[in-house]
Amino acid sequence: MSSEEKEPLFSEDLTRGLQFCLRCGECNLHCPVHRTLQFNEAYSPRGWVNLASMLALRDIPVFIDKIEHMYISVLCGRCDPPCPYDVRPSELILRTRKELIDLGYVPPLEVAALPRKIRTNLPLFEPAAQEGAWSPPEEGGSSILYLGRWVLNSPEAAVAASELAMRWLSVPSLADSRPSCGEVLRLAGYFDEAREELESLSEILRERGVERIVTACPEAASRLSEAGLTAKTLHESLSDANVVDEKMASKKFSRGVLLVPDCWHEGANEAMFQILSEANVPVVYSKICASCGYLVTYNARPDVIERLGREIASQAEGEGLTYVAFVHPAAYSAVKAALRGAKVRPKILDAFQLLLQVARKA
Amino acid sequence: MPEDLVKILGKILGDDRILSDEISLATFSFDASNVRQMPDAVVRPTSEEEVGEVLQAATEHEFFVTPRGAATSLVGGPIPVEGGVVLDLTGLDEVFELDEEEGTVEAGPGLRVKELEEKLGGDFFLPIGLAGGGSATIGGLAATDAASSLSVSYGTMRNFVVGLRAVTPAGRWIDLRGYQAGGPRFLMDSILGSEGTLAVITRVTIRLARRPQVVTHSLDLLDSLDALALLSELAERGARPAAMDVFHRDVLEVAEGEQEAGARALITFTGTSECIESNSKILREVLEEFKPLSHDVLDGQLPDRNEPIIRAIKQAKQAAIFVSAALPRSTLRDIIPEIDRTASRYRVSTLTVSSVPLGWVTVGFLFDPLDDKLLGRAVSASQSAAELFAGNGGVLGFGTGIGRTMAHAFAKHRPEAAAAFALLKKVFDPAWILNPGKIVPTRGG
Repeated sequence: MSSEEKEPLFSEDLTRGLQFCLRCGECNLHCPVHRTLQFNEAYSPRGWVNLASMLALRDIPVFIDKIEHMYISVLCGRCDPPCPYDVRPSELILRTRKELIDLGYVPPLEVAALPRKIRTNLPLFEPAAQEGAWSPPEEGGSSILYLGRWVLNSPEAAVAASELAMRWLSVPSLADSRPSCGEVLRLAGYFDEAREELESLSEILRERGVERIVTACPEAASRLSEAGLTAKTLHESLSDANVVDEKMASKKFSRGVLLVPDCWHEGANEAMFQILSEANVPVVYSKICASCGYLVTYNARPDVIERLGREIASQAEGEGLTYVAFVHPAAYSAVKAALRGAKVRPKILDAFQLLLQVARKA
Repeated sequence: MPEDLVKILGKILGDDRILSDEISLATFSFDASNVRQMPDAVVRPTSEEEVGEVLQAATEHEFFVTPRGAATSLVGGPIPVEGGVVLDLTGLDEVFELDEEEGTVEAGPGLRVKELEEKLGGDFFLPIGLAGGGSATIGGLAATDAASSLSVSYGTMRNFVVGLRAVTPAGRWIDLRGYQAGGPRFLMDSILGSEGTLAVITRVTIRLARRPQVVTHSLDLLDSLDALALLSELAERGARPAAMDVFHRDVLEVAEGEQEAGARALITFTGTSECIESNSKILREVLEEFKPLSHDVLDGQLPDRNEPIIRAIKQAKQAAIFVSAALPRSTLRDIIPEIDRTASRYRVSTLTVSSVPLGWVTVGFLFDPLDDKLLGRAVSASQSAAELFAGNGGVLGFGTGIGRTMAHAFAKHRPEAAAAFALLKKVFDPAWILNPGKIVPTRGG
């Protein structure tokens, strides 16, 4: 049966969008996953779009391997600007994830588990380890540090962020990981659940009378701002606060830091770059950017994140840098977990652990 | 196709470089044309020797092999239309020698143009495939003898290839490196532009051009005929454009809506400041007579043959099937209206650009990807245009290769050339296993 006789699997809008990609391949050049996986077409923006297009037209059947394959993209969005036709491959990949879920095709097991309530049990939040609870439970105030869902994977980054926020910004309150800002859910394709999460979070914050939100996760700042709240990243908030002991920093990081930027948040990247540069720490941007798309991908295909992590470490080593610092704590936690047990020379940290090591006394 | 294909290939390459899962086969089934076909397997060699061994195995066991670079082809060149194995050459991207003073590079065919130019810094450039961001591979450009607007002054890709190493399906190596100018050019020329049908290029030496000073004049004219006459007048007065592209009415209307201008000409001069100025002076004198509707001078800007086409495609929100040929310049005056008539006959919209000094005409036939009837009409119109070009003495596939989309028209209208191709094929690839269905549609032509 030819494709014209079949009803497309996806909505007409998505199917049309997928067909409108002319397969010129300009996007592939800019994809870190494609490059890291030896330019294999199967792991490329064009490859993902083509696969989704074939699924849409029912040229190939939907099966778990294809669903999982759609989760290998880290959704960094680097493929979008070079597209001569403004196709926005990353958006097409994301919408394909969503429509597959809407059709009842479940994503990989760990990704599928994301919308479920997850126990925190983190020392940071003890004794308030109850799901959905906030710590401190009743303390409010006009300012709050919102950590986000990534703290499940990276309590050490959360501790550092909390310490910095408390010491330098006098922002004492902590938020639990649920409800989240919804970004990880959105990247996994759960658009409706993501929206609900963000609404619940906004409601709680409004009810508590929070006027100023500082977020350790750059994505959360964007989502909360979109929801009409006043939110700013911790990175940017700290850049104005003169937190670093220059002498200590230039001694500790004398050989320099490879800064892994957040794909979507130039503000947070620039803030970190500025903080370190002003403390006379040599900073080099990593060729690969990393955001919370890594968490979804990490759950689906840890080997992809491991390879990306190795490439980042290899760049640091090649440039004689002894530290790697991720602007995004979720990307840090994904890479750190993927590289567990591997011999990697540079020390891998997130931005907040790095800053805490050289922070002046408040 | 032997059933134990993967087993045969497994003796040559590691399992991780033989792909036979459905996802891989699906993602290696396309390029930038509308030709689609899934292979039976994909192999990803990392050495020249492995390429030779795969070809030898293909000849011995009689399975088809289709070489592939970055698959940016507009004509189905890297599509395994007869099935078999796709030979993904992107892993052969090593740079073996680099002469930064001369701008010469010896590299594997999988090296991308962007990486090539980055390695040589800003002084040199490859005046081929200018429109893209550099994702095409040098092997792909060499295999298709790709062109650009600047081919008027710089020639096509073969002018930049000064050496190559290739392997035939029988496993014979052809090494044409290390010659100075005046070497056995004819041997190299039999492989360049043969679209991976005779041998697989495994190493290529390229000498890039020095980046020139450049000025491009953008002129809106009343119609295409004015543009053709303008070039004749320029030539008569001794001006030498490095490039002259004309975007015809169809492009302007789709991209920008209805307007007075019936054509836009981009005329590029390169060279020293004096040279550019003297050419520009002649142009200004000529324009007093031609009276363009508008005239912009774009200092330092190379011509981009694709930009208006891309803008039109975005505006139309449609895809396009492209046909490309170099025609005798004297025929352009009649061919352009004939393209319009073809479009009317099949009720499709077109996008037409011509590089006048080369007689190079590229036509895109627009279609809605979800409208199969319109797609069918666009395919028929493109075939009709290919036949129109071939019937008027055109060199089909100039700049893009003949590939799959123009193979039928080539075989029909150029039987003597198709016979010559068969003769060469017999010598290089007697088992006819390499990139079947390209240049000519079938073994019998």
